[in-house]
Amino acid sequence: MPTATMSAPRRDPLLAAAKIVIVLLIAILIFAMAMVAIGIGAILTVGRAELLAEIAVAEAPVLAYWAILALMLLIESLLFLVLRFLFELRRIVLSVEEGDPFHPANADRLARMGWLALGAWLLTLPASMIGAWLTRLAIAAGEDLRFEAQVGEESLLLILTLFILARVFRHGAAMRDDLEGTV
Amino acid sequence: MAIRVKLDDLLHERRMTLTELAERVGLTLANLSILKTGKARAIRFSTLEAICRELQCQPGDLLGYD
Repeated sequence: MPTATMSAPRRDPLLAAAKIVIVLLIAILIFAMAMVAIGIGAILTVGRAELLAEIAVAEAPVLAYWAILALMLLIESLLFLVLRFLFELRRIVLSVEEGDPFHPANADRLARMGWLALGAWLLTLPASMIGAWLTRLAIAAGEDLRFEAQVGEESLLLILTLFILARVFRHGAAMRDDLEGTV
Repeated sequence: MAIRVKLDDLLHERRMTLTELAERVGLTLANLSILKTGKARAIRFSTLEAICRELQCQPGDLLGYD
C-alpha cells in the first residue's frame, strides 16, 4: 500500500545542506556588499573630510585616502565575483537534485566559476598589496589596524580544478547524449 | 551517406506491427520508434540480437548504408 513517505520525493541531506549554506552565504554577501557600498558612498561624500583629517593627524600621505577607496572598491568587486560564483554553484546543485547534472549548461557554469575564481584571485593581488601598505601606515601611526588579504596557492588549485571539472562535465554530457540515443 | 535502419521494410514483410515487436523484444515502443525513424545514435548487440531473433533475419537485413 502506498504511503506518504513512499510517494514523497527523495530528499538528499547533502544537497539540502548545500542549498541552505549557499543561500545563507548569498544573503551574507549581499549584506556585506550593501555595507561596503554604503562605506564607499560615505568615504566619497559625508565621511571624506573626516577621513582626510584622520589621515593628516596620523601624518600619513593623502594617497592613503585613495588607497582606502581603492581597497573598498576591490573588496566590493571581489564580493560581487564570489556572489556570482555562488549563484552558479546553486544552479549546479539544483541540477544535481533534478537528476540531470551531466548537462552542457553545467560545464559552462563550471567554466564560468573557474573564470570568476581567477578574477577573484587576480583582485586579491592588488588588494593584498594596498592592504599591506595601509597596515604599515597604521602601525607607524600607532593604530592597531590590519588589512590582510590572503593570496594562497590553494586558490590556483581550485581554479585549475574548476576548469578541469568543466571539461569532465562536457565529456560527461556528450556521453549522456550517446547513452540517451542508444537503443 | 548514412546508416539506414530498414526496420519498417522488415516489419511490413513479416506483417508485424512495431508494438508487437516491442513486446517481443522487451523494448519500449518509444525506443523502438527511435530506432525505426533512424534517430538512434547507437544500437546494443542485445537489442540487435533480439530483433534478429524475432524477425528471423540477419543484422545486415536490418541495417544498410547509403
